[in-house]
Amino acid sequence: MKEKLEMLMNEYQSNLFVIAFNICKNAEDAKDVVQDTFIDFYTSKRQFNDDEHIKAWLIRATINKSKNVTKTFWRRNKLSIEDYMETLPFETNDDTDLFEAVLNLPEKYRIVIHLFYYEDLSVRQIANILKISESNVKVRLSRGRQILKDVLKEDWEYEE
Amino acid sequence: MKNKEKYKKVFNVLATSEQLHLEVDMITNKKSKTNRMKYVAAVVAICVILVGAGTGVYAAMTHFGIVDFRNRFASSVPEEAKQQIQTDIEMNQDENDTIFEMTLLESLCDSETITLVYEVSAKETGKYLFVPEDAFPEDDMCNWSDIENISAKDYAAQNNLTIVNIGGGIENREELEIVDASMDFRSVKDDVMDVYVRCNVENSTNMMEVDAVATGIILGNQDVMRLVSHFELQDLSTTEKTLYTNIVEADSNAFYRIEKVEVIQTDLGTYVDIYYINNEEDDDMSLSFHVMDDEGNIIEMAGGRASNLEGNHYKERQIFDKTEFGDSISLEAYDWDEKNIYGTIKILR
Repeated sequence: MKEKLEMLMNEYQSNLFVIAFNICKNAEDAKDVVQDTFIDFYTSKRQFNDDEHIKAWLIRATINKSKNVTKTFWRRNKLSIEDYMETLPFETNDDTDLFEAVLNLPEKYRIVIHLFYYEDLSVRQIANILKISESNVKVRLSRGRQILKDVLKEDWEYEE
Repeated sequence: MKNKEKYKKVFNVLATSEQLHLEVDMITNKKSKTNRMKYVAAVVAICVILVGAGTGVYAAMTHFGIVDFRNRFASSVPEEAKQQIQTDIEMNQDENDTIFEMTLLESLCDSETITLVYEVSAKETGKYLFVPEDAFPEDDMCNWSDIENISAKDYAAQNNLTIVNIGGGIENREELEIVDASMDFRSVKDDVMDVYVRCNVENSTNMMEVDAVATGIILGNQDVMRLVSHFELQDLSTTEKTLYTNIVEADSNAFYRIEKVEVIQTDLGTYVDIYYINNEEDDDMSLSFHVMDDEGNIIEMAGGRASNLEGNHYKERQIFDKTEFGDSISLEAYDWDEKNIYGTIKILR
């Protein structure tokens, strides 16, 4: 089990951190979420069909834990997102603008946008992970894209 | 560049700029993780002796109790509950080879929560600087002590101390069905740390067996030292539950519907459980409720959480400092993500 855990941590911890950050908007909270997610994985007695099933579970657990953090009253004294962004070595101002535009999306659009654009998940896979219908995923994807297009203008291509 | 490529390029910067340092042993040894409370609303008045000019050894004159910690979050403990704080608690401790000892200073519980303060002190004094479990060497000491404008790393170097991250919590979380927990830390001396743990419990009984654990990790070493103390905790609080089911004001066309509201009053605080149906699938979990007083003012909550019970049925628990409700309770439905207000609901007992 330890070997399996190590393999999963090596493979997914960075991606799970980015998912958690997208929701928590705070690096320390996101790190706690990823650690908690792996602890839950290790201590749970769930049976998984295959690695895809495990990946979907890890993403789902990370999203749920991150949402809990955002709804928790006692959050960390955190570095403001603006200050934190200054520490990230973006190559261009366009990169910074895109990062900021994504983080400013309403959470329900932000999660779907991230799973689609960063995790390369299909609409069906996203629907399974979020436990919502495929049509709802499409609606959120469309609304999220439209907001990004409105904010980023020519830096974001029109997509249907 | 396509949108997807642009997106990945930007978020890869985030992925590669943060080192998570997660180790398998940390995960397999820890088994439970609590969030640290850092919400500082008031500074606890303590007496500090500083020997020398900023380079001396730190020592507060006192220990910190549940009331002191709660004051830091601007959250009061009612007089009835103060009388129920248990001290001189008998405990059994596992044999250990840790560098520290653990003493349970205070405990308090009601039917919904367990609160503990324990003290972790070095067996050999003058060698260690105890810092909270999630503190970095670069963090300012003012986060857990009254020393300001110096990092833990610099302070430890000036005083020839080794940094140890102190943490812990409650070990038997599954048996007690602990759903979430918060922690806070206050330094009593360089090598004495008082730790506050507050847990929300789903499976409480009048007499609970609790295993509190203190952990320590010496900086630069991944080995976790663990010390477990077993003790019994008695619920001395009274619990009174009031059900509100008769909805007299609500938008009948709304996409949500309140099923019932249960108010649980204990000597320690007030817990409001809102059971509702959310028919708007697209709304996901962003629907929430403000609890309001008779004048329509929002009552500030001290904590809370939401959970999906089954299908489109949800439960939202809100925790308040002791608050009295009359024959009715008013809620304001809103979207915590997009901040839209949906409407108000009034419910009678």
